[in-house]
Amino acid sequence: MGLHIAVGIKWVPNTEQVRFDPVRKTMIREGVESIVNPPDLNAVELALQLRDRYGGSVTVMSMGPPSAKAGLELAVSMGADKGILISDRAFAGADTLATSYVLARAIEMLEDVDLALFGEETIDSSTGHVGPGVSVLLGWPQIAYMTRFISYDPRRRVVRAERRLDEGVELVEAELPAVMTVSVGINIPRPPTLRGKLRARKPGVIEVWDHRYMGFNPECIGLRGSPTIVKEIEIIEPPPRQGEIIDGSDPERAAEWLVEKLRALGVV
Amino acid sequence: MVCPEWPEIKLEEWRDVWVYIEQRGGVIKEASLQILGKARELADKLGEELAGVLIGHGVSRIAMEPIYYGADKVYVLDHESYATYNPELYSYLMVELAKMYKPSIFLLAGTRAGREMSSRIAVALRTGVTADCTDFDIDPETGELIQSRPAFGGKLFAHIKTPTRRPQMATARPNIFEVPPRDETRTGEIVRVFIEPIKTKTRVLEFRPERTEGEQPIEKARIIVSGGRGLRGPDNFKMLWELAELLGGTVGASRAAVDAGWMPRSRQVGQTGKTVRPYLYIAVGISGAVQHIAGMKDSKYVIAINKDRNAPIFKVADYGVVGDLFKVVPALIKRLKELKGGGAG
Ligand SMILES: Cc1cc2nc3c(=O)[nH]c(=O)nc-3n(C[C@H](O)[C@H](O)[C@H](O)COP(=O)(O)OP(=O)(O)OC[C@H]3O[C@@H](n4cnc5c(N)ncnc54)[C@H](O)[C@@H]3O)c2cc1C
Ligand SMILES: Nc1ncnc2c1ncn2[C@@H]1O[C@H](COP(=O)(O)O)[C@@H](O)[C@H]1O
Repeated sequence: MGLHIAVGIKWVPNTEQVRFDPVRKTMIREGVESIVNPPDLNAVELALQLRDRYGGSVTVMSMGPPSAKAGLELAVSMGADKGILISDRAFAGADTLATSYVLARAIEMLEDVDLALFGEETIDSSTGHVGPGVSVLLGWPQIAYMTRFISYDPRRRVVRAERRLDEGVELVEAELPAVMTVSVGINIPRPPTLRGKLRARKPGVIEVWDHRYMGFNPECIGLRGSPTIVKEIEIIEPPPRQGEIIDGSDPERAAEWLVEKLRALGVV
Repeated sequence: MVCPEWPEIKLEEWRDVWVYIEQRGGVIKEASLQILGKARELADKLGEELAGVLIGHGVSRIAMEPIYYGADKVYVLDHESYATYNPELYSYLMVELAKMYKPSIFLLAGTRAGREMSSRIAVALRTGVTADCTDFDIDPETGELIQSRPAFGGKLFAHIKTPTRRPQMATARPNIFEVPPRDETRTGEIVRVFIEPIKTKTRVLEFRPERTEGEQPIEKARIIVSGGRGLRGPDNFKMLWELAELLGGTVGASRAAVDAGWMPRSRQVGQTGKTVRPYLYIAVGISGAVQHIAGMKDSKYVIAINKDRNAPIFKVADYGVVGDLFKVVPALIKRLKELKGGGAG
């Protein structure tokens, strides 16, 4: 039996490091490393735990530039069986509809996927829309914002999990095949192993799919398949701050200084 | 050219502004009411109607509420089979409703439920959706909705449009817009709709509401003392509560502190928590990751206490102390108590 699990991972610029050129209004890419979107690694870890427990396989997939291969290699070196790099210029500029569209087709092409896992949201666009979008396109049930995986019942083919809404926690059951989006920090992603790293380099372990191979009409993907259009971008100037920083190795003096500031602000 | 796999639509057939009125147990979410004020402005600019969409069991009782807050009309889907919130069912109902009445703009609150449904509805209708907007406007030339939202952890502000598809969909970040005044003299139309429910492949077995212990919610506080991983454990938050009380404020937390179970989720500040804009924000043992800063950077004043001089929180601080919080905070509490007790010092 086993579970065939597909995991969507996005290769994102590390937002902590992103800087902007205020004159040219462009992103300064030099020196900015990219990383796998953090909750996506939690999704990979969950997939590996489920496979180790119930058998089956884990396929990671990423739509992105050729450099996104590094993210897939990381997931394979953690233990994923296979990676799919969905990469080609026609996919560029995709919004969440176009992204969901492509990932849903990839899952169909993988055949017999039981569980499609995604991160709760990305650090670069932070929408959390892709998982629910894929769920609609595949007609599969969805458990979003999952905070605890409880059980998989192979006989009834249902999974049980907890998920968190703004006002509380829901216990949900879903029939397979299903989509789940995983909260950041629900587990600790395992480190890559040397054996895994070697495997990731083997030919065939990471496949590259382009839009022709996937049978897409170019009008339906990338920028052209995206109903939303970014009309303008502004750089947000952070509100000016005093930036008065003192050394606090003498706590009494620091406290006195803080009290002065609190007085000036009118709060004491 | 548009994707031939999308259903064809005629833009001019889509009119009116809709707001999904999220409720649980017959209580309307404040985040939904907040959108009504802004949506009223948009509808007025377009010369179109503003409608609320209310789904649940027994919600007829509260059907007039959206009208009191500015709507012209409310679509009420009240049936026992809609009693439990289920994104699969609720988004299906809204997709069918949108196909019937064709709204031009459809807004939802940027709660988790609002976000997951907005994507389901948009994808089913093959239209766009912008998450977490903090401003909306109407392009005076084209009448298109301008959806504005922060991106890249709050470093950019993007203005987004959905020119060729309808409805133009977005979620609005909670606590950005103000709830408009409630006016019981307003009148409007109630449209009752029944849509045959689908059999869902998900079942909600249980819902456990999160306790919000009678304390002041952080969204409304004028002063917030927030703690992070630097606090090392739940017991040390007592110190922050004490400090907050002396200042007349309340306590918030970083996600790291919430994930560790030291503080309830309802007090998390940041991108996946609450956006707060207090008069004073005091960050204690918080490094200042972009996701945290996204939720507090519009505070009027920021004070940071952290032992690491290079912590990014200092970049957004007006006043900072580089030092051990376990020494500085107690010293500060002591000094404040002396001031309170001893009168003029
Ligand atoms: C998709 C996504 C969404 C997220 N959403 C949010 C969100 O909404 N809110 C949020 O907060 N985070 C969010 N995060 C997490 C965020 O990236 C950081 O991991 C988190 O904010 C770190 O919390 P922290 O500052 O408490 O902990 P740390 O980064 O570990 O910082 C602890 C700080 O305490 C200081 N410290 C330690 N001991 C002492 C001492 N004795 N005295 C003084 N200082 C001390 C340290 O110098 C350090 O700077 C999100 C992450 C992702 C991937
Ligand atoms: N280009 C992509 N390739 C693979 N997975 C993606 C991609 N974009 C988004 N995802 C997945 O969808 C989740 C939610 O993304 P978003 O809706 O953009 O916040 C991410 O955490 C990923 O798991």
